[in-house]
Amino acid sequence: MNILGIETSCDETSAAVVRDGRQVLSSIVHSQIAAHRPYGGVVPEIASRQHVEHLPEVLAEAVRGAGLEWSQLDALAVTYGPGLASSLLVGLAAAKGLALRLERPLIGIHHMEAHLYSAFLGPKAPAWESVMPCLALIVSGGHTLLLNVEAPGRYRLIGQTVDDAAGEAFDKGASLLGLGYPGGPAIDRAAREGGNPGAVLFPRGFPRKLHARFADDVDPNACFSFSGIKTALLYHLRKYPPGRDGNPAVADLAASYQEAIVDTLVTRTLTALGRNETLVVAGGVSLNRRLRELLAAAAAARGFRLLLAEPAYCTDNAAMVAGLAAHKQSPTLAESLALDACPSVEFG
Amino acid sequence: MVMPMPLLAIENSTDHGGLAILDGTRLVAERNWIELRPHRAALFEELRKLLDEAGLRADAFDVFAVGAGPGGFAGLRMSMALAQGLALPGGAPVHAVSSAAVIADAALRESSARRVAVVGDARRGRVWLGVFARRDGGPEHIGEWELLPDADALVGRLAAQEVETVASPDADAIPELLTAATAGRVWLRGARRPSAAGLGQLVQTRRAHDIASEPLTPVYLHPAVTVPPRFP
Repeated sequence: MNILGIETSCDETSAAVVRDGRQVLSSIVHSQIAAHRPYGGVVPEIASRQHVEHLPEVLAEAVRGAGLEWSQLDALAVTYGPGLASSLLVGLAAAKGLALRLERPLIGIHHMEAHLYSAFLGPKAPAWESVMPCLALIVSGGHTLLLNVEAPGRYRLIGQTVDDAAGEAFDKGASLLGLGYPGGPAIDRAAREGGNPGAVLFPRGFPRKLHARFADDVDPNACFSFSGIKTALLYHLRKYPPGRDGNPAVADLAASYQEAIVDTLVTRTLTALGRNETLVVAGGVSLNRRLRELLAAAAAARGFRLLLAEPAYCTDNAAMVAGLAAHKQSPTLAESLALDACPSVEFG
Repeated sequence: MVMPMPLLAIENSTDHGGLAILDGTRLVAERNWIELRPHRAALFEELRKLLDEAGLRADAFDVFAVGAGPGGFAGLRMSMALAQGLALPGGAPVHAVSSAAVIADAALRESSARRVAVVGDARRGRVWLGVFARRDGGPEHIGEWELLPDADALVGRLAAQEVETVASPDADAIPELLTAATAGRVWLRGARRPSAAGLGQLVQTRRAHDIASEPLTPVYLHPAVTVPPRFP
């Protein structure tokens, strides 16, 4: 079964063809980073304009790259939320046009569930049924959450950030340090330039009931807070400008800041792991090398299985959308056309 | 000469959406609706109904026409993405033309003017202006889109561009400004919205005169970002 997936929820314009839910025949991602970089973050209006401009060629390239004719596609899949409303609508409209033209079902996909599924793409990944139940950490620029994955399609949200996402904290920190955008890779690189992660002890963002508002049914001990780390960096920079009077250098600050975020993620995740034998980690921040090091060390020490998405499928991509769609029921044409964008749809 | 060629026209730049099927310049079927929801989801269901009514499949079209605005971004982007999705598998061309040109085309048919101005509400305290000249291949946009702050500025530009007739899709929103700015000129009163049938006919005329499609992006009157870049 060949499925063409479309992903336009944020700042990546992506299309991919995946066979039988696992074999990625093509995966095309048009990154908008250069357009957003001057502003230090994603500008929704720029993202929408870029999607309109680039999606047609990205779609054509995905089908060409898969070595297929359009008629050989069995279904279409598209991210319907969460994400930027104006960006989601572009992908949805193109997908509906293709569904009508090809007379194929259009399967709506939840962006976070697709990120979870990204760890099960490719020839080396296990079948996702085989690792459940498990714990999943999904960590990106827009989301940081912990899920108990009971079975495919059955998820229970146990924790999430109460303010900024981890990737957002990286972006804001990199901006304060003058390292540019996107912040995650910039801080990762700077920290690797001899930075001392113990140079400055930035606060670990563990929200307390007294200060944070938690969503229903989540465990406060599995929740995160990253806004305080950014504020701590801001005040530190004001008081101790890097490079002056023996103050920590930018590399030390980057390493220390990264350590605080990663330590928070790892500590909360390991607490939530409980008796789960497998931890799945997905999302753009899962590319962070320090996070991968600490999780791998913990997996070796505690004996759980660590399942990370392949780097190509960590950031937003359509392969995860097309792959997951193979496990979903096909809607009717009328249902396909009624699919609407849900910018803030919950998960779990 | 316009060759018989099934065309699907999508005009979604205002709250009054429209779809039309033309065979050559002959209108085969059309649907029009009003939708105030920001997601403009009616477009897809209306398209399915239109195809059913016409007894056609979505692969029946040799060309797609889409209105490029100025207008609501959500509707414009969705209609362009939809047209591209419909067109890609068969390689059919998508021909974009500004929705203001469709209004100008109708206005030029209704009057004997040589030049017509289309004026709309650009929000943020501005009106937009597009001036069109009568040509065999349909209205030709003269100069650039202009953003103007008030009636006085509009009067000055209408005089400078030797405009005789004015039409607006937003006459309900900016009636005082239009009344003040069009003194001494012909104002085609009422909201003159672009129709999908008019769009399809204009695109067929343009194609018959070998006039290329306008860019397949909405007409953007305001910049995407109004704050200065942090990392220039």
